[in-house]
Amino acid sequence: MSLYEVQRLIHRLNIDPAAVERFRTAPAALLQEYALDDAERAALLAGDVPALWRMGVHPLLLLHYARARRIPMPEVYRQLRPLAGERRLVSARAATPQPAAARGGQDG
Amino acid sequence: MGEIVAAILCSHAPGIAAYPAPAAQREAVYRGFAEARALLAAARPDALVAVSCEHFVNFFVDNFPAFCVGIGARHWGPVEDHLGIPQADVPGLPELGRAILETAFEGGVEPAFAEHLLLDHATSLPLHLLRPENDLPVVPLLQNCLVPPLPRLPRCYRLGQLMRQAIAAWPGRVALIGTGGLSHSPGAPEGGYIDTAFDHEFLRLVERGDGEAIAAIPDERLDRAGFGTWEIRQWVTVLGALPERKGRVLVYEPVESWLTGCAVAVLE
Repeated sequence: MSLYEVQRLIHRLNIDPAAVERFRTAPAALLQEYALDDAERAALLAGDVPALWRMGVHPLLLLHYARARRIPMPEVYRQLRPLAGERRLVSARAATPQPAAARGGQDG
Repeated sequence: MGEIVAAILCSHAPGIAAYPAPAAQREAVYRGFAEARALLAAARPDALVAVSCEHFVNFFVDNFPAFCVGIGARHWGPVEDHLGIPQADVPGLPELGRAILETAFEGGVEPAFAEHLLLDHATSLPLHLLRPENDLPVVPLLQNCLVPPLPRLPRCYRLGQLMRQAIAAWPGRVALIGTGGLSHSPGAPEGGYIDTAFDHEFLRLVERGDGEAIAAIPDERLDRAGFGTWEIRQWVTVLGALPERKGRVLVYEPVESWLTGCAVAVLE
């Protein structure tokens, strides 16, 4: 259970072309370098965009992931659209604290 | 002494360079950028300060400054190779970068600094459309509009005031470019949603030159317009540098296929 590890991997895919190549050819080995739980590993291997969104992955990192995984942008949005409203991105802590789950991940 | 000879505010959506859009909208946006480019050339700047934002290129959540001034002799970008924008060194201007940094610290705002910044579409796309010659030194100022906590809008306004002081003491003609927004939510389920009501309301305030009113927009209103709207911080910083000027909106088009309310404006 580490959103940070999931995002750290995706960030690397955005800045390290060799990592993208490994992600495309031998993803399981690359993922072993990160402290991921089974659900995170499965979502990253399967291209499960909705699951990654629900985990709290930052939307821009989600786009970087989709590019590395070669998921076309229209397909990304087709999968995301039904999730509208599930997770609010807020720029500042609300005056009235909300439950952590309603705030999403680190962007909450 | 130093003078701010031009100030351009614009969107920087990668779609502007890379994705198709209805011809009328695309042409309108490009006309807006072309007009701003001509104004910039006519102002004969010696240097540019490009206020833009970070997109996980230089910084990640393990170390994320609220502000970062590029003080290097060179920067490089864009990091994206799919924008059709030449990837190149961009000359920096360490003296002006350091002057902005020092003046900010004197004034109570402490940006981070970097000797070598990578530029992405947020800086490279506007530079490509506004000054494709790549012949002017650029001081990049990156603001965190990406991962909360974000610098508050009045803090950006204050940094703009301090930037003006630094430029006033620098012997040369400087143009400001602020890039980002307007309403958009890339990579989120709301990705295609553009809050045109927000965008129009915002541009009315820009036309009035009312940076203080913009700096008072509640965070919650920006959130409703989409997290990409957090990038109006760049407009706020530039408005803070030029409180006496009014905005002229050269174009506004909500371009669905670019997922962004796209605007170009100048302060004069």
